[in-house]
Amino acid sequence: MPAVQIQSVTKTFGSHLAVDDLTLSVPEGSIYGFIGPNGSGKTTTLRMIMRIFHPDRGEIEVLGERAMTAACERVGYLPEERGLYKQMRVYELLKFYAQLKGMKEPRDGIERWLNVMGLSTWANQKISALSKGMAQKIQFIATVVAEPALVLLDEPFSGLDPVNAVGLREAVLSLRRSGTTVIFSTHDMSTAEKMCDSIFMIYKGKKVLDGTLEQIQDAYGEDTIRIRMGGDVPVNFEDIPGVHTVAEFGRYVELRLHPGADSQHILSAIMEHGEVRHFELSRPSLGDIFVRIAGPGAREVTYA
Amino acid sequence: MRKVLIIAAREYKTAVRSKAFLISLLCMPLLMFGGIFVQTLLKDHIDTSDKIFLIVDRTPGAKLLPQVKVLAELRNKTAIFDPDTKRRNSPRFIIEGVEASEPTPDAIAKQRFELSQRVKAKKAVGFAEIGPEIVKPPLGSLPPLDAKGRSASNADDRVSLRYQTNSPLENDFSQWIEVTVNACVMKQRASDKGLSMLAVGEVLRPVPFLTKKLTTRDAKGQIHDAEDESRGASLIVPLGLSVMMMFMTLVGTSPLLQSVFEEKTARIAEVLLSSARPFELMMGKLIGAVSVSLTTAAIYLTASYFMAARYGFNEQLSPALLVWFILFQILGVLIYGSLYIAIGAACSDIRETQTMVMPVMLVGTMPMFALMNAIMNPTGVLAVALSFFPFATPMFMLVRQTVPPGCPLWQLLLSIALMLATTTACVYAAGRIFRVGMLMQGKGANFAQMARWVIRG
Repeated sequence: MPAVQIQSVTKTFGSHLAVDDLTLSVPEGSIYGFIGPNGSGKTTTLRMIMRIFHPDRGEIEVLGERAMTAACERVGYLPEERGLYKQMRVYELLKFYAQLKGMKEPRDGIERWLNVMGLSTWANQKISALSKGMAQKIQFIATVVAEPALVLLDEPFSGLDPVNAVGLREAVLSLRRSGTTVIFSTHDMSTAEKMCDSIFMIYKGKKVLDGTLEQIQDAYGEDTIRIRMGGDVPVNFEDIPGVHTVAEFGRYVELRLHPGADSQHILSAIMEHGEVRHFELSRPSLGDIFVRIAGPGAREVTYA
Repeated sequence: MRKVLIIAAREYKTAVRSKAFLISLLCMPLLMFGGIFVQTLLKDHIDTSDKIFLIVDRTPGAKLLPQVKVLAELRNKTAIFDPDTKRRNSPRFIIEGVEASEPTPDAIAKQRFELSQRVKAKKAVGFAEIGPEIVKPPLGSLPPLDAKGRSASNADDRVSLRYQTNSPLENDFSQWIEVTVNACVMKQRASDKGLSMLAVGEVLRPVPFLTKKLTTRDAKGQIHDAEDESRGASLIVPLGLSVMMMFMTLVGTSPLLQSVFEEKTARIAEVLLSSARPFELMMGKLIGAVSVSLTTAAIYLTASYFMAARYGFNEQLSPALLVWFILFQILGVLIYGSLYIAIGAACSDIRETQTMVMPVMLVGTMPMFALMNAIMNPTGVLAVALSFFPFATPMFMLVRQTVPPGCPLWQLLLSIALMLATTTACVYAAGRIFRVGMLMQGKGANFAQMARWVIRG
């Protein structure tokens, strides 16, 4: 049984089409990454899974429940816009959230999570005394303390320093080990590549990518050449037949090939212009794919 | 329901632990009893320095002036001390006679101007003139008496006592001189007619007037004599109770505006809405607010009960009245609380909330201006009409319950039905505004938009 089953869901706000005929299935126990540019419908989708918004058309099944509130206690939600009651104390606040999620005896869970996040000594401090990173970790604990079967995290890593980000990543992975399904949205493509079992991309309300990283990359094939030249001779890569686009990164250049172009022909064409120090044929990164879909000059094509 | 109670408990704890709650708890008695306290304090600091008054006696031979002076001396010796402490509690009146000018209009006008200048220069507090024909007014020169038997103020100067001053609010002297000159004039009139003043005094002596409550009969059939009607108690109890109720409604509900506004602007709303339905969230808040106001009520009512018992008003605080008090209090908190929740959810900065709260506060406090009227005349059109206006029902029904003859049961039930309907409408509307408004960031809504949210959801 999938943890979340979205079937032909459409949601509009006034005249704005936020989510357009979306179908998605999130398997139980997986880490599912939601990517997409700002305003593309990620948060709306998450809010619909949370039953904060109701779809205009279509159906959403969460943990096998279709009723509006039945599953709500087994789902934890960390919204993108974060806020906590400033005047409450850490322990009191976590207890409040845990009880709202139906937990009768939250003490052990709260203490364990505070320990995991290295915040045990802060239990009796007011929220207003915490740093931004600490408050974010508290909010994460509030999301997961009631041991939900499904966790939705909207941009969980934004604003965290690298140390805290590693801590949070480990916490998310430990959730998956304990069988929790995790859906998180992110702008950080490398995080999504490294952590997610499956990736879903939404663009202008439509699903444009859905699958494992391998499946997505396979759809694009090995169409990217990463090349480093010796010497300072400028090379006009655009003029080489078979090259679609060129991205300069300073130390190296990334060439995207036309479908069907022969990489060996291109290599020999480049070698006529100067010394090649490094030549690598690869599949496009998730970031590449993202920019191809949503970047300037992107064509509105569904690749999935 | 469990979630509603968890939310209510959090709201209650946050509100009761806040400094604002403690401060307002202390403010209420300060406001109510502060006035009394200041008055008692000022009583000891009353101005008791000598006051000089000028008197022009225009009667032939100026025969009244010496009598007035004698009576002023008598007053200065006997009537200006507190009977208990023997301390002076009012100023001495020093009377200075002024010779009357020529009886021509010009001369009189000139003298009045000169005396006015002396008053202006603070040489005296004011000046009085006794008209030349005051003792024996010519036939037809006096205007008819008014309905209360008082002389009209449009009589001719020649037959009147006239007092001019630039401090008209100091009315101790004007009251005294009116009584004193009247006494002198009456005495003169009596002796002119050959009557003895003693006989006239007996004729004019007013009758004692007693006000009592209704006579009652107890369970054994024993008829009890009526008790003295205490005007003080019949004023203080209804006024105190309804002002207290208004205050507690405000104390109970204003934290709602803050907490909803905090949840919206600090983006807490989304987490809450992911755990509880908007309706549960709102009901939790309302129950929290009701508990806060009932806590205040318990504190104040206990205190007032002891106060009332001490001053003998407790009979007016019947258990039935307390039940009504609590019922109306709860309904009032629900109505105003849901309005505050709607405003908190619709606004996105603190200035907007202030603008929006103004009309609510006005609707809530305007009826207070009619409160005295309702206490004096509890069955009047105004009192009855306002007790059916749901935003004012708690205050006015309480007053009408406290002030005899009370209020007919059907009116009470009708007003409660109207309030329940309004409460339901307010909670429903606020719930719809709350659901839409809580997740709206950016620009706040105006009343028209809020109305649209209520209708379309």
